[in-house]
Formats: sequence, structure tokens, C-alpha cells
Amino acid sequence: MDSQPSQFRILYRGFLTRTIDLDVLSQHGDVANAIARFAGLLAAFSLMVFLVIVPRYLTTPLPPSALVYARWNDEEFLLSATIAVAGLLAVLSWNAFLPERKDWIVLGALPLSWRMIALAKTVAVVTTIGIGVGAVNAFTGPGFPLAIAEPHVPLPVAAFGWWVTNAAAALFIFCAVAAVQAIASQLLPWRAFLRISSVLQLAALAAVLWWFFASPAFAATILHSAGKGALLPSYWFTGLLHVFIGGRTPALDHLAYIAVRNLGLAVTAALIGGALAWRRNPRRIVESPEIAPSRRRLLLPAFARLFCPKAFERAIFLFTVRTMARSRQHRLLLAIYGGAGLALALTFLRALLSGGDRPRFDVPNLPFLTVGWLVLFAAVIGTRAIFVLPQDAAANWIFRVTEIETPRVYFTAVRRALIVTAAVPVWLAAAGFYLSVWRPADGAGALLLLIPAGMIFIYGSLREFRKVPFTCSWFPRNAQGRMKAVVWGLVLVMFASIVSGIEMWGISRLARLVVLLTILTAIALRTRSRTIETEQGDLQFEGAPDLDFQTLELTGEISRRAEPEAAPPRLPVRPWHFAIALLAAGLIYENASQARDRARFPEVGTSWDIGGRKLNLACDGRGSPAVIFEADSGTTGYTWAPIQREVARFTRACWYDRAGYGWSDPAPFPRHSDRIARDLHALLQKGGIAPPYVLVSAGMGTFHARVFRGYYPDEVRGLVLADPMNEDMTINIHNHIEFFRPFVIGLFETIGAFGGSRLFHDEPDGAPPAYSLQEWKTITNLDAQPKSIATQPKEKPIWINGELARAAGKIASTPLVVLSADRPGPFADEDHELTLRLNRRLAEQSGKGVWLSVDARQNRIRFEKPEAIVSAIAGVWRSNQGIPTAALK
Amino acid sequence: MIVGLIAPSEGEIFFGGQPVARDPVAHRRRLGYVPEDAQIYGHLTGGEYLEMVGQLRGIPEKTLARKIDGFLRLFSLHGDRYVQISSYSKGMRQKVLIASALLHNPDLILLDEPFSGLDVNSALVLRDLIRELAARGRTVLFSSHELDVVERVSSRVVILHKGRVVANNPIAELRALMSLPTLEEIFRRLAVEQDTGAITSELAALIES
Repeated sequence: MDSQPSQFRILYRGFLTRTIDLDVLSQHGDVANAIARFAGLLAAFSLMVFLVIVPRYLTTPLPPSALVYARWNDEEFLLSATIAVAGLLAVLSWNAFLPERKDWIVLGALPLSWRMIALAKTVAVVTTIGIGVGAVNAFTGPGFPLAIAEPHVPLPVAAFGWWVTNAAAALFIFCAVAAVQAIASQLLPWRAFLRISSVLQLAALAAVLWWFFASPAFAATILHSAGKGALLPSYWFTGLLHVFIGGRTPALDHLAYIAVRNLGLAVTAALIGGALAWRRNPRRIVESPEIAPSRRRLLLPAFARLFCPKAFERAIFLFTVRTMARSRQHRLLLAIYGGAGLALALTFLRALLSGGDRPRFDVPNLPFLTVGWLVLFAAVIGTRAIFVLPQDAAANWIFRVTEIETPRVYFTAVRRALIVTAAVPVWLAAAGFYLSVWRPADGAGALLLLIPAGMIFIYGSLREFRKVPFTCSWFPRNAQGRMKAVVWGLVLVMFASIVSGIEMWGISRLARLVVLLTILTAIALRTRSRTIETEQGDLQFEGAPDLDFQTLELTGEISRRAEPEAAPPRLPVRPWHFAIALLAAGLIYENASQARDRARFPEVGTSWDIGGRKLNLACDGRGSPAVIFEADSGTTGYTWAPIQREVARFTRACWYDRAGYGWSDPAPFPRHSDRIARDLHALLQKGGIAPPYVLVSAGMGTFHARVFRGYYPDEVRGLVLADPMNEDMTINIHNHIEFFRPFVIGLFETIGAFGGSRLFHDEPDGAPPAYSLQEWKTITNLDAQPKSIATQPKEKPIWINGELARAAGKIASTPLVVLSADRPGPFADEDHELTLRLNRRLAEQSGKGVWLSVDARQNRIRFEKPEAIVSAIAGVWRSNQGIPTAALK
Repeated sequence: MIVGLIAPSEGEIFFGGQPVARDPVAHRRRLGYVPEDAQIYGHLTGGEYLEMVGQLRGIPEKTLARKIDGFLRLFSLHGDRYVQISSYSKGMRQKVLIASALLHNPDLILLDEPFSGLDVNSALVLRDLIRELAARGRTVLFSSHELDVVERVSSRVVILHKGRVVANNPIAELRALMSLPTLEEIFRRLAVEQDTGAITSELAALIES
């Protein structure tokens, strides 16, 4: 009987090499190499996780009790990685533990018992999974238990517990997969089982990927909704782990119980199902007729005719689709890509179901947009990846002997096949989805953006692909291209919210959509032409055994073209055409929008010519001194309208637009406080507003008001400065590199002239309390005008204004109120306290100065507490009338 | 080399007076090829495979459909036309390959062991077909170890032995030259050096040992 162990050994070795569809990993069946590479990959993952996780526990200053939940999550993550690896391997070795026709044909004739064959096959699968699980725990396995075990648990026990739990988890998933298959094969008629089997395999794959990528955070789930923990295998085994490493809780104990129970169930089911399968299936296999009855399929050819009108392209397309549909190996690899994409997409979708600020699903939202392009990317890259997995290398000769078209025709057909097999289904699904959940305009926008995006993915992925799909094997030197795709994928996922944010920005307005579409289309065309440039030369059939002549090593010498190839066909449109079209469209858009704005926002106030250009001045009320409002940087004087209304009750109140803002003409750079003050003086004279004045200003406008007082001290009878800037602060933020300022201004003016600045303006939904919606819309639109945006850099650097204000001298005897917000603003000064101190000192300069602290956010007093400014103005104005007021004491 | 799958290390191949290498595409258009070991995409059905080859060869659609239908019927594959080739027997595959090589009405037909695996009926049809095609002006180049078939079908025989041409003559001329009655006898004389009888008895002894 000593021949039995050696028989077993031979069988076992044979099955081990066949366990996984090895072509997935390596073309020429170099098993040892493939396994080493695969194990190395998993071990690298383990090392990375180890380096991220373990130092956290060793270096933290926190007591162990504070780390309990972080530890739970890490444990669950590592166990779910074990389960994912074991599950993936079990799914990839589908059929490897059940009897197959091959076994019958090859081994049936030899004097071997079925039991031994069954055992050898099972042990081979278990070995593969064992290698995988060992590799994925290579670094975390020895390291992690030591880092996390409770102090009272001996380290050997913790380490032992870790490995036992991982082995149990892997055993569970393997038995579950095996049981599903074995039992299905017993319950279903044989033919039905064969058909269902691959569906089951894909479902199992989806479940494994979903468990890994989309499972919710462990600790939070256990603490808040313990019932959900019963759903996920990685949760059960985390519970089991704690039986060994300590730190047990009733909830964890319950999970441990589920783990043991379900492991028992899975093992029992697998054993019974397997035994039955090995007893009954061999006969069923042999009895099933060799030729499967089949029927004609009409749908696919009709579909092909629709998308590939040329017969030649149809041939390549149909070959592609049929290979993908009928080859288990290709389907499976595609499912791994698609499944990973979908699982990632699901993790983004989770934000819609849970989380703090849950976005609404029925309006454009980031998760839905992300899902769209992520699935598109996964579909294109996955399909492109399986293109290099040969279907039947020996049968490739047919493509070579029928190669009567130029290679370019083949490349075009391949591109079309990729578009139709990968992108079109996603586009169709996206159309159905977006158009049904969102408004048609939003849905159409999202869909339109996916089209050039898909073309970019497709053209990008086909660079240097000079083959017919499924005819050439993977070659290591192509690994660079694959790496590129992985890197691009990672970048896209890392910046998913930015990508989707840009998309959302694009679909929010037609003009933005046009710009984004034009840019994407230009990129797609550029990618296309770059890809077509690489399509020089012959079709490649590398790696295909040249029938019986393979050993002659005569590759690449065949099919020399008789005549040199014509230049690649060029599209009539080039990327720079898009740039020109975009600029022209922008010019038209900007001018049309300006005309529309003139009608929407008629001038409030009157324009006065102050010498070649006009400034807008708007006055109301009667009395003297007149109150003149100076706006903050970047905005129209119209922002003073609510306060002007109140002040006009007791005196004349005027606001104006500085050059470049509101309804005033722009003026050339520089526009510092000196020119601004002289402009204002000229305007007041032209507009017939006689001195004296009380000047009211905010933010950077306070410098202008102080400079005006310095130039015309006799005309100014009072100052109200809200949230003033201070020269002692601004002198610190100046920079001396000023040579590029004219370029910045020119850039802003150019962008504005072509409609660029308008693209970034959003219509407001509401207004601050004192404003009507129409007023606020007017203000925001005026501030978004290209001339206003280009004026902002003209009024800077701020420190020059500050020094001009300093030079204007101390406000010795003019009544003065300085209002300071007591809370930091949204763009807070780093040193709010210092600002308050400096404001107070400014007020104390004047013998008649008052400093008031207002309950508002910095720079927001005029919006949040307009009444404080009104009463300050009233106080200053009354002191001019000789009426003493409480506010000034 | 004639098919163009590998390049000749030296020398040239002429067909119709033109070197084949001058315009390989034109050459491929005129060539029909059946390889020896029935290498064919098993995941396609017979009909699909023929359709693909026809489309790759640029045969007009209607003609192609008519030809495929005809070939499948005449090769009695019509009943299995929607079945994947992986389920076909070796003979059925061989028939699909022969059909795919003849779809585009080639001038030069290259058959490598075309009879292997064929049922008796189909083999007889193919034998007569080769003769018929030759009579209609096509060049049929085929290799076979079945010497009696070769004898009946061929107008000219080339015998290769260890990479060298040992005979290149019309059959009748060869018979007269060697004054031997059959091709098998001629072949035995030209190419077989070993004593087949001795080998046979040695083999029988080895089996029983």
C-alpha cells in the first residue's frame, strides 16, 4: 500500500498547479513564479498595513483603555482582509474542488479511487488559500497581536489566537463557497447547474468584494446597532478573536458564538454537499451529452449592426463580445475590476444613506456623480485589461492569414469594440439613472460630461495597443502601461470629490457646462491623436505560439507591408480649434450678459463726469453735514443702501461707486487711497454735495476716508469707521514683489472679457436681513463684473493705503467713532485681540474719539448690526449740531 | 512560409509568376489555408466562426450569408450551427476549417492533413472536391500521409525526406520512372530507410515484456 501516498502526492501536485485559472496570473503556466509574485503582492500589502497600524499602538501616549475602539476597527479590518483574500481565492478556484469532466477523461481510466482524487483536489485548494492567507498576514500576523493583546494575556496565547481566528475565518469562507456550489449541484438538474454556476460565482465574488470594501465601521456598528453585526463574517470572527486576546464584552461574545456556529454550519454543509457531489456528479457528468443543445441568438448581431455598420468592425466587435460572454476566465477578471469599481462607488454612495450632512438624492450630488465616472473608468480599464488575456493563442493564426486590411483598420475596429462593450453600456445605464432621478437638464449635463470622459479613458487606455483583443498574451514589458492605469485610478479615487465637485459645478449652469464640455472634448481629441500616433506599424501577435514553428523563434519578421503606410487620418477638428471656439463663445457670452445685466440692474444714482470718466453717486434725504459712505474693497457703494435709508431720515446721505465698481467707469492702475480721495472730492463737487461731510466707511475703505480727511481737513466734520484696517497690521502683510501686479490685472481683465469671471459667480438664494433679494442680487452681480474683479488688485497692495492713511496725520479734533466686531470673522485675523487694541488706539487719537465693541463677526457689522452704525452716525452728526449724545460719552 | 506565418530564411516563393513577399496582402486574399491540428476558437459556434472569417476577408454580406448556409448544409453541420465549436468532434472542426478556407473562393488552397478526423463520407467528398477545384483551375497544395489518397487526387507529388526534396514529379511519370505500381512502394523505396518489419516485431516484444 505504500504506492498510495505517492499517488496522492502526484495528484496533489498536479491539482495545485491547476487550482487557479493560472492564465489569470501567468501566461506560460510558470506556476512557481506566479505564486511567488502573488504571495509577494499580498505580503507587501501586509507590510504596508503593519507599518501604518502597529506604530500607532506602540507610540501613543494614550492609555490602552482609550484605544479600545480603534483597536476593534483595526482587528476587523485585518480579519476582513483575510476573508477577502481567502474568498477571492476560493471564488477563483471555483470548480477546483468538484469533479470535472477532465478528471473523468484523464484520471477515470487510471486505477485511482475517487476519494483520493477528491481529497487531493481539496487539499490543493486549501494549500492555495493557505499561502494567500499566510502572505496577507505575513507582517501583521506576528506583529499585530503583540501590539494589541490585553496585558494579562500571555503573548503566545494572543499570537496563537490570532492565527486560529484567521484560519477559522478563511476556513469559513472557503467552506461557504464550496457548500454553495456543491449543494447547488445537487439540488439543480445538471444542465441548469452548469448554467447557474457561473452566475453563482459572480455573485460570490460580488459578496466578497462588497464585504471588504463597503462594510461599515465595526466599532460604531456594534455600539449603536448591534443587530447589524450578525450580517458580516469579519464581525463574527473579530468577536472570536477576543475570546483569545481578552477584552471580552457581551456583544463581542455573542459575535464569537455566531462565528463558531456559522463555521460549524459551513463545514458541515461543505462536507455533506461535497460528499454527495463526489458520489453523484461523476456519473452525471459522463451521462450528460457532449453537445449542448443551443439556439440562435438574434439580439447581439442586431446590436452589433447598430453600433458597427462596417462588416469588418463587426467581426472584431462580435469576437470581443462573444469571448467576454463565454470565457469564464475573462468574465471573472472583468468582474474583479467591475466589482472593485462598484464597491468603491458604493462606499461613496454610503454618504447618501448615513452621515451627518446627508445630501439630497434628487438634486445633483457628489455621490451619484462619482458613481457615474468611477464605474465608467472601471469598465473601460477592466475591459482593456482582459483584452490582453489570450483566449486560445493557438487559434490566432486565423487573424494572421485573413489580415488583408491595413493595421489601422484593425485598431479602429478595436477602439470601436471597446467603446461599444465598455462605455456604451455605462452610458446607457447612466442615461436611465440620471434622467430619472434628476431634472432633465441636470441629468443631461451629467450624461454629456460622461461622454468625453469615456473617450479620454478609452483612448488613453489604448495607447500602444496594437493587437486584436484576446489574441496576445500579457508581457512583462507592458507592465508599465498597467501601472499607469493603476496610478491614474488611484489619483481619480483620491481626488474623487474634487473631480465630482468640478462636474457638479459644470452642470449647475449651461455656460459652465459648455466650457467644461469643450475642455474635456479637446482633451479627448488630444488623447485620441496621441493614441493614433502610437498606432504605427503592424498588428502584433507576440506571445502567440506560431503553430508548430514556435521553436524557430522567428517573430516579428512576418507581414512586412509592401508599400509604406499612409499617414494616419486626421480629424478635421484640432484641439486649438476648441480654444478659439471657446474664446469666441466667451466673448459673445460676456457681451450678451453685460447687456442683460444693464437691463436687469438699472443704475441706482446718477453718473457724473469727473474728467474723462464717470462715477456714480446716489443721494437721499436733506440736511447738513451730508453723510458720505465709502465702501470696503471689492464692492459697490450700494452695500450701504439699508444704512443710507435710515440716515436719510435725518440728513443727506450719499453713497458712491469707486472707479471700477458698481456703475462707475474703471480707471487705470494704481488706484490707491490718494487717487480715490481726490476722485471722491471731484465727484462731490460735480454732484453738488457741498461740504461739510461726515465720512462713513468700512474695512479697507477706512484708509480712503482717513486720507480724504487728511487732504480736506476743513470739509470733514466727523468719521465713522466700521471694522477699520490698521496700518500697523497692513505694514506686516505687504510684499515687495510687485512687478507682476500689472500682469495679474491684465489676466483678470482678459479672463473677464471672455466671460471667465462670470462662470464663477453664483446667484444668491437669499439676502442679509436689511436687504431685499433684488438689492442683494444687484450687489453680488455688480461685484462679479469683470471690471470690478480687475479693480481689486489695482487698489492694492493694502500697505500703501495704510501708509497713506498714516501720512494723513492724526485725527486730533474731528469727532470719530470706531466700531469693532467682538468676534473673529470667517477669514479671521490671526490676532483678533491685537486688532481690537489697535482700533481702540485709533479711536483714542482724537479728543472726540469713541471706541465701540459690537456683537458681530469681524467685517460683518454692516450686515449683522447695521443699527450700531446708524446710531454711531447719528451721534457724530448730532455732535455737529451741538446736541450731546450718550453714544459719544 | 507559403501562408506567410513565418518568413523564409533564404530563397523566394513564387505564385503565378510573382514573388509572394512582394505583396503579402494580395497573396493572402488569394490563399485559403487549413492548418494541421484543427486550431480553432472553441468558444464560437460554427456559424459565428465562418461569419467572422468572412467579415475579416471582406466578403459582401449577402454572399457571405448564402455561402455559410450552403457550406454548413453540404458539410452536414447545419443542425449544429448554433453549438459552440468546443463541443464539436475533430471531424466537425476540420469541416468548419475547410469551409472557412474556401469561403472567399481562393486561387491557392493549402491543406495540411485535411483528411484527419473526417468521417468516411466527408473524406470522400473532400477528395472529389480537391479534384474538382483543381480541374477548375485552382491550385490545391496538400500534404498527407495517406498515400493512396494522394495517389488518387494529385497530379504532382513532392516527397520530402529529412528536409530534402527526394521526388518532384507527376504521379504517372514517377510510376514509370521507378517502375513501381503504387505511390506507397515508391515512397518506401525513396524515403524509408528502416526495416519496418524489424521495428514491428521489436515493438511486439517490448509490449509483452
